[in-house]
Order: sequence, then structure tokens, then C-alpha cells
Amino acid sequence: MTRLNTEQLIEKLTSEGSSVQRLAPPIVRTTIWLTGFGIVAALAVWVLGAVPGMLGRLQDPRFALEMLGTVLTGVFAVGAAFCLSLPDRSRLWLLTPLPALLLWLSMSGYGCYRDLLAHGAAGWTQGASAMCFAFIVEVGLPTAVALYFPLRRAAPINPIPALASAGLGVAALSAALLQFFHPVDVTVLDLVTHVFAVLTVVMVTIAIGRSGMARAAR
Amino acid sequence: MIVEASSFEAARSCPRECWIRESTTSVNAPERDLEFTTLDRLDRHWAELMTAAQNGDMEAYRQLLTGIVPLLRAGARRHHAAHECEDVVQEILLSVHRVRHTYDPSRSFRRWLLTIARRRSVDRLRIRGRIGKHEDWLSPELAAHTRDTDVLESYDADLAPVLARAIDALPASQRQAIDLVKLRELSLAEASAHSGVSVTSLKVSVHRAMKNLKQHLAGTRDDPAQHGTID
Repeated sequence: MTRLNTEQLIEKLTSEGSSVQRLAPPIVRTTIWLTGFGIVAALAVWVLGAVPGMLGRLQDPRFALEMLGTVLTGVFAVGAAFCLSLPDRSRLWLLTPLPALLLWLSMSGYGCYRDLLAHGAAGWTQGASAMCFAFIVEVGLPTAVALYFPLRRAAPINPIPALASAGLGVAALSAALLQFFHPVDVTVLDLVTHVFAVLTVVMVTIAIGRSGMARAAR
Repeated sequence: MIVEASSFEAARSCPRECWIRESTTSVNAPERDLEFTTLDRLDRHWAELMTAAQNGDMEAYRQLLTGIVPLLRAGARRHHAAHECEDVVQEILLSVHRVRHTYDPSRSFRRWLLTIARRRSVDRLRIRGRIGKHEDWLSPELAAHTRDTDVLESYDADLAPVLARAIDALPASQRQAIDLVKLRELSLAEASAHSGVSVTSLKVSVHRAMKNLKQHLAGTRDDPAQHGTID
């Protein structure tokens, strides 16, 4: 039986080794990926003619803050995913999207509150929750696949935090995109649905990406 | 092997630096300062070697891997049984090799290495723990019964040589695949790196070997004269 001892393994690794292309810093990789996503999203919004309605809605400071929180959650979570895919980065990167996430949820919640005041009990039932869920999941999961491959290049030693952050990032970006096609403020049901859809994307991203990432690192 | 839960928890909760801290816990402050200075110097040296290795200098890579092995062995000894340490060290070396493109020369090499080492160590303990869940200590009553009847002894004494003969009878490639993948529980990628055989060939060899072993053992079970009394 041929089983290598440690010294033989080192000889084998060095004899097989060659120069490697060092990964670019996470900020560069994040910028490249977000630029690509931004171009595709902008094209989709422009082609589907959703820009004029959005410009009008952004006049409302509450909605503008909600959009800012949603987009920043996506941007910070994607950046954190690229950092967390590297072995020597702190897990505290997981917390970077948190302030933006709180802004997003609190502004959405405030919108729900205003909705309840305006419509009374009807504020609980309005909205297009099923469409919201389907949109976030259907846009979020393909986007997660597009993020999976650059993350996999780092062969993360501990893939779950990176995948969780990636899932949150793509779900938030999908939710931001959803606002272009969701011309009304979110209701309580919509908000619950958004949260549930984001959690679904995060869980599916972890469940599907985990084994592939683990194989890449072994 | 049965792994104590405390050793898994200790390894998992231990931050990067404590994975190898035993060498610095028993010395006084001036010696410890000196040791940290030495470690910092070593860290810079390793960082230079890894940077050169990333650029294709395989002599630097050999020096680096050889240089980190004592540190990895010291860490492995803290959390693993003696017979497992070398396997853990080799798994860490394979991971270092696989992800060496992720090292950023402007950052600490030691921190990068210890994260990988700690993760692989925890993975190994987790696997052992999972196996341990299916094993159990014998209750005193059952142990006494076992001693009385020698049930397990007769089982082991009968089956072990039969299995050993069956494995020895396999073609060399299948025997090697069974040894690496089933007996030593390496992943296919690790077994491939150890043996130089491709992952696909290993998969085929393991599949054929298992089929041959099943046939062989079924044959001997039908013919008790070959191995004694397995029921």
C-alpha cells in the first residue's frame, strides 16, 4: 500500500505546485461584482420602464430611507461575503450589514404603521404578498448563483458565514429591485413576506452552496 | 474511537491563537515576550516564503511547509489522539496547498494558517464525534455477559481474519483505494493527493472493491468451513 508520510506529502505538493494567481482584495472583488449586478439590474428596470414611477416615490423621505437601507444591506452583505470567504478575516464582518438592515426594516415598519393609520384594518390585508415572495426568491436565487462562483474561488474554509452573508446580500438587492415593480408602500403582510422571502433565500443559499464550497476547500 | 465532547467544544471555542498556545503558557513574562518576538519574526519569514511560493518558487514553498509542520503537530497534539495527529497535520497541509492563493502578503501568515488549522482540526473532531454517536460504552451487565460468553471475542476473532484475507485478495489498486478511503477515512481528494491516483479512478476502485468484498464475504458465510462460525 502506498501511503505518504508527511515529508513525502510535502515533496509531492511542492513538486506539483506552480505559481498561483493571488485573489484580488475583497473590496475590488465586491466592486466588480456589484458593478455587474448594477448594470444588469439597471438594464432590466430601463427595459421594463419602471424608472419614472420610482423617481416619484423617492420624493417621500421615508421611502427614500427604506430604499437606502435595502440597497446598503445588499452592498454591505455582499462585501462581507467576499471578506468572510477568506480564512483570516474576522467573523465580525457578518455584522456589517446590520445597521442598514435595521434602517430597512424600521422604515418598512414605519410605512406599515402609516398604512394602518390611513386604511385601518384594511391595512392588514392590502398588498401583493405572493408576488413579493415569488419576486425576491426568483430573482434572489439566480443572483446567488452568480455570486456563488466568485466566492467559491476563495475555497472558503468555513463556508456557512460567507454563504449566509451572500444570501442576505442577494435577497436585499432583489428586494430593492422589487420596489421598482411594487408601486405601493408595503403593508404588514408584505413586510412579513419580505422577511420570510429573505430568510428563504439565505437558507437555500446555505443549503445548496455548502457542500460545493466544502469540496473546493478540501 | 470515542471522542470526549469536551475536547470538541474546547477546539471549537478556542480562538486561533490558543490552538497552539501550550508552548507559551508555562513560561514567565520576559521569556514569553521573547517568544512572541520570535513568533513575529517567524511570521514575517513565513509570509515572505509564502509570497515567493505564490510566485512559483517551489524551494521556498518546501521550506515553508517543512517549517510549519512542528507548529501544526504541536497544535494537533492538544486536541487529538496521538495516532490521529499526523493525519490532521496532513489534512491541514492539503488545505493550505488548496487555498494558498487566498493569502494576502500584507497580512499575518500565522493568523491565516491557524484559522485553516483550527477549522480542519474541528472538522476532524466533528467526524470523530459523529462516528462516536454510533458507538457506546458497554454497561457493566453487558460487559460481564460478554466476558462470560465471549460473544464479541468470537465475532472479532472470526470476522477480522476473514476480512483481512478478503482485502489482501483484492487487486492492488482496489486494496489501496479501500485502505485510503474506507479504512483511513480520507476524502477522495485527500486520498488522490496521497496516492497520486485520480479521484475518478479511486471512485471506481472503491466501488469494485466493495462489490468484490461483498461477494467474497457472502461466499465465506455460505461456507462456514472457510472461517469458523459466523452466524
